[in-house]
Amino acid sequence: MVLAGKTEAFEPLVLPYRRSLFKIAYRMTGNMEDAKEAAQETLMKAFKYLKRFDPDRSFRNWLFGILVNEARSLRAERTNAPFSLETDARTERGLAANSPAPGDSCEARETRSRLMECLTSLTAREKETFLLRDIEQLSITEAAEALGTSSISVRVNLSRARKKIRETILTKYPHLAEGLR
Amino acid sequence: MNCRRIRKSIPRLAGNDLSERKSCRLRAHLERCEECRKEFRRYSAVLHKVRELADWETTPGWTATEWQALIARTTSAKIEKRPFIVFAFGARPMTALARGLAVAIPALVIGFVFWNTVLKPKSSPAVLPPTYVQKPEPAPPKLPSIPQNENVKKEPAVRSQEGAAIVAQTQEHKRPATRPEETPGAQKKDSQDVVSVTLVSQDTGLKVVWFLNRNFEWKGEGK
Repeated sequence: MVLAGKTEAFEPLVLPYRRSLFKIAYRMTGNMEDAKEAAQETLMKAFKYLKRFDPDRSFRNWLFGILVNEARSLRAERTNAPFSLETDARTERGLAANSPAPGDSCEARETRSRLMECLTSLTAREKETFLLRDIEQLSITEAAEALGTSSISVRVNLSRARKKIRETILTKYPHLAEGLR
Repeated sequence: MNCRRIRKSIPRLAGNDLSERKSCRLRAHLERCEECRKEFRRYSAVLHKVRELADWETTPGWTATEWQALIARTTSAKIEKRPFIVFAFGARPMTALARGLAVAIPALVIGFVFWNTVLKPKSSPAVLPPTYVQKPEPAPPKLPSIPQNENVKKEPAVRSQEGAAIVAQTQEHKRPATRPEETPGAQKKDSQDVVSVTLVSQDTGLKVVWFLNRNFEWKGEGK
């Protein structure tokens, strides 16, 4: 319908993924600013290149694939960018976004920081794989398709990520691991 | 299977990422081995905990106004036209390659066969009768025609005329096979009907062909 010219049909198409897109983007980039940028770019590219979408594939996986690429390119930009006032301001804003928001409960903030702390111990690839497979509950094949890698690579990264997460939880949050030992 | 190998696979078993056969083997080991069982429980609990944290996590997303503005901005852009190659062969590179080959190979085979059967120019016969082979020659200057007398016709030997060597060439033209109904009882004979004599002047390049019958009577002249 969207391709037939009914552009208003695009919103119902992406609405079910509104929250997941933002969440994944946030967990991948680590700050709100970049998450917003990556998620916005994902939606815009999805609309622009909708004709390239293969109807035999899952729309969700295709959308997540775009998001992963956007997050990667943003990360590359940030890594290559020289230290400047702008990046400094962005980091400040990111920190501010991660810091307590007026509506957030103390417990919610703590949960967010714990999860982000666990994820920081992972490499970028491991993080992407872990988020798609263990948090978003995609199958191995779907995650491989979204990440543009093989199932074997997903399995390897997943094993490593789980090991690291386990170590992080056991060392940094032993109270969470009560009863796990 | 020893414990070291089992422990390598435990993270995948905890996430249900192993095949049915392998997970059966691992579970059988876990029933026997206390340490591996504990390790498996730890992994399962950690994964469960992380998923719980993720469900609990409240990530601020777009507000309704932001979302509407974003959708409006997104849909105001132009949808890119699908490139013909993607339209024809598909978006995935390997699929496109396979489809491209599936089209190209039969097309090449059909083209090759069509070229060989229809389009290829037929080769000329290996040996042509000498009378049909004519080399392009510069138009010779007009010379007074050679007098045609009986002696010359009957004796097509090499002769000299006005100081120019004349090369004579004799060619045989065979009579077509006579049909039996036309000459019943007649003997088939490969007899010579017409003799051609070609005279070429080496100085002027003039070429004259005389045709004589089986009795060496002059029948005609050609150039």
